[in-house]
Amino acid sequence: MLLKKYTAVFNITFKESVAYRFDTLTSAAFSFVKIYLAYLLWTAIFSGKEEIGGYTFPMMLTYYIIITFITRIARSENIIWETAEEVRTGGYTKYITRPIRHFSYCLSRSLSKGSFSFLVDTIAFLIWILIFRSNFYIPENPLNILYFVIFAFWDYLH
Amino acid sequence: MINVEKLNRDYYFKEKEPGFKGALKYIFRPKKNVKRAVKDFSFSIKKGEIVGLIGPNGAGKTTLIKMLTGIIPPSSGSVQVCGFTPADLKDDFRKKYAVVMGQKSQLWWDLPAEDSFELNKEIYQIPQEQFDENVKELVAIFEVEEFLQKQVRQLSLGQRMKMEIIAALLHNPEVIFLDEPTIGLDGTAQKQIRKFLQKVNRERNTTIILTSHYMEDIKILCERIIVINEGENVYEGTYQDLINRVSPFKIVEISFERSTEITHTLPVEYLDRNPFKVKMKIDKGEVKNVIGKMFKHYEVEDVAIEEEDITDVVEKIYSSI
Repeated sequence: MLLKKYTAVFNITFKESVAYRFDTLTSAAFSFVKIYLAYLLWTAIFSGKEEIGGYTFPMMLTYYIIITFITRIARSENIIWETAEEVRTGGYTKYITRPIRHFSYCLSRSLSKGSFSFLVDTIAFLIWILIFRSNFYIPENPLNILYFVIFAFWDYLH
Repeated sequence: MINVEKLNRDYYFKEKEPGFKGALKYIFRPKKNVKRAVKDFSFSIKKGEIVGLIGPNGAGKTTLIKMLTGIIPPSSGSVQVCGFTPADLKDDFRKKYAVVMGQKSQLWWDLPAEDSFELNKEIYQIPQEQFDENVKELVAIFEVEEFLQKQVRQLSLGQRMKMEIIAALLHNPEVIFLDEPTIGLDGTAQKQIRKFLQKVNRERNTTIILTSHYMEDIKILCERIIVINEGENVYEGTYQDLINRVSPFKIVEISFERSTEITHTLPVEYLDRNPFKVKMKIDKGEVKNVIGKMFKHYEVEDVAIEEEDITDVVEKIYSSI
């Protein structure tokens, strides 16, 4: 019953994120520009060379794709700003006057906001890999991929 | 239902002087100040009453409501609402009341009001049946059915306020605090909200505490009013008593069939005087007498009796008590 309260917060926040779906989608799409720029830059740098400092061109590009993905899912600090703003403007009273815990409320909200962008960004991530597949470097040790997935998820929860 | 005794609330604040020097001084040696926003305030409200809380801006109305709902604790004195001390913030207490502040919203800006209602259903753990019934009934009274699926930010101020009130009533609160619910609304919307509140009060026996700057709200809704000025309880009683006390006059306008010169000396103050029409301020006890004389001695065409201008009365309430 208690959990139901916070699933409701999760749901409504998810709906709120979807209300701005165009914003989310375009910002995901535009991050492609960043990767494409890196692609052009590193093509120029690597022209005529096989390796720079032990790194190949696919390694460099893979690094860029992954780092873009990571920075996008690590932007969960909105909730903190939101709370600060609510305290400043008096919106915080809605947690005092209603039977709800602010901490759990924020946690549900944070999880919800995170999962929406996680969803969109993961899809975008997979598309980039597909586009640059000939230049995408897949690590030899599959354990590294597993570690990556675990930490990426941890990052999203944070 | 509500018992308030010798309630005090002090605000501590640091004074900030203007200018660059002032800003520096504020960092290192701020001037500390105390303001007593609510002073020795006592009153009690019975179940099912509608009570109006009026007073000029900055009188302490909102501070008082904040203490009644537990948003801020009192500096001293006691508050009891539905048998609870609000500042303890017990969940059982928070399910018993609702608060609507005209300038703050609990609705989700980017979503239809219906979604906010659903959220409140879970927050207050309202049974599905009661929820459906309440939404249906409240939406019908306000005639806002067609706006339920519209994003809140696309609603007009009046429509939003109605949704705001519906959201606050879904869990059948025993007490509802309304801080300027009609602020900025047009006449029709104001009337609808008043009617709505009367209905809720009558049918559910909900206790309503209301603040407003519109005297119409107070006059029509409130059986009893409490006037607060500079944090003090300066008047408690009915609206009519208050009006009689601060405004012992009526305004009487008499028009004549032909050009008339009033020759009698009457106990009135003339506000306007011309051969076809006079406008007089008359002591309430003398109205009958004066009008009688007028009919007897002059050819009166029409008579209009009004209360003194409400704005003047309010000004008097705030300055004279």
